[in-house]
Amino acid sequence: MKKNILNNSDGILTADYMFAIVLAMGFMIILFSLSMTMTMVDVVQYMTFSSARVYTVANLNEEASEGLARAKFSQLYSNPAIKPLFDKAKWFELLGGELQVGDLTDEFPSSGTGADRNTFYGVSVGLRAKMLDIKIPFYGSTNNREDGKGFSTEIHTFLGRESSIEECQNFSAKRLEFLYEYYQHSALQNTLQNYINITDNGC
Amino acid sequence: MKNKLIKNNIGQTMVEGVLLLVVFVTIALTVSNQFKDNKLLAQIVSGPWDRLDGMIQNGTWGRASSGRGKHPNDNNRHVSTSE
Repeated sequence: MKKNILNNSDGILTADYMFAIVLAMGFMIILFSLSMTMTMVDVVQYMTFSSARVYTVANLNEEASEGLARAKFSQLYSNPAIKPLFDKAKWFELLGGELQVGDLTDEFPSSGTGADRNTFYGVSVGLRAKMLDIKIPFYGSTNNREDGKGFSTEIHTFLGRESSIEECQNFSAKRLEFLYEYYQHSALQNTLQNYINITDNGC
Repeated sequence: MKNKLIKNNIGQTMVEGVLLLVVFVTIALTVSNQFKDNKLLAQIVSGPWDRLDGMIQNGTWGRASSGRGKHPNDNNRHVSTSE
């Protein structure tokens, strides 16, 4: 028996189904992207924390501390669980290309002045969640930001920085210099020559 | 016997099908346009992102630019429990 395709209603909901499935899939993608972004923010937060922890402890000098912080971040970033999401999948992007390490106080305009000046020593990195910037057919884009930055943020960790060995030695040398200057006209002048600098990595 | 075209039901379903299709497509396009015109998707994602960005950067709800002075590392915020 020949089937008369005009006398049945098969497929009548196809158009509606296509519309609905796009919406449902779109929301699934958005929820997945949000979850991944929050997870990545947490991971990068820990990466900055780990780098700041390396940076904060005393080293030979500040450059050595900075170098270690960058090396630590690079080591964590190179993990195969993380790096492909940046380099291959392009879901995320590190802004500025590299880690900011050191005195970042100037980025906080309300940081006070003089003795009340806040110090923001640590590590900061920019993260852009490219995977959140989605265009879903029929429904438009998730991004209405006009500044062109997309879904970007700055992730910081400020743990401060201990004095380096070099700074301690310079501090002690300067102190002895002042002592020489202070006692140069006193009877102690000769005995001061017997003093030498001793630093035990504590200023 | 000659078949009278006007007095049979052949094609009735097709006409109804076309009408239903028009209704469904119209509803779909209307919803689609509402989403696009009002940027509903952007509101769902971009709107909360501004506040999330502030929390990620400064540990306080609100835009990142306005929350810089409330960063927990700030001297005035070291022991603060207020938002």
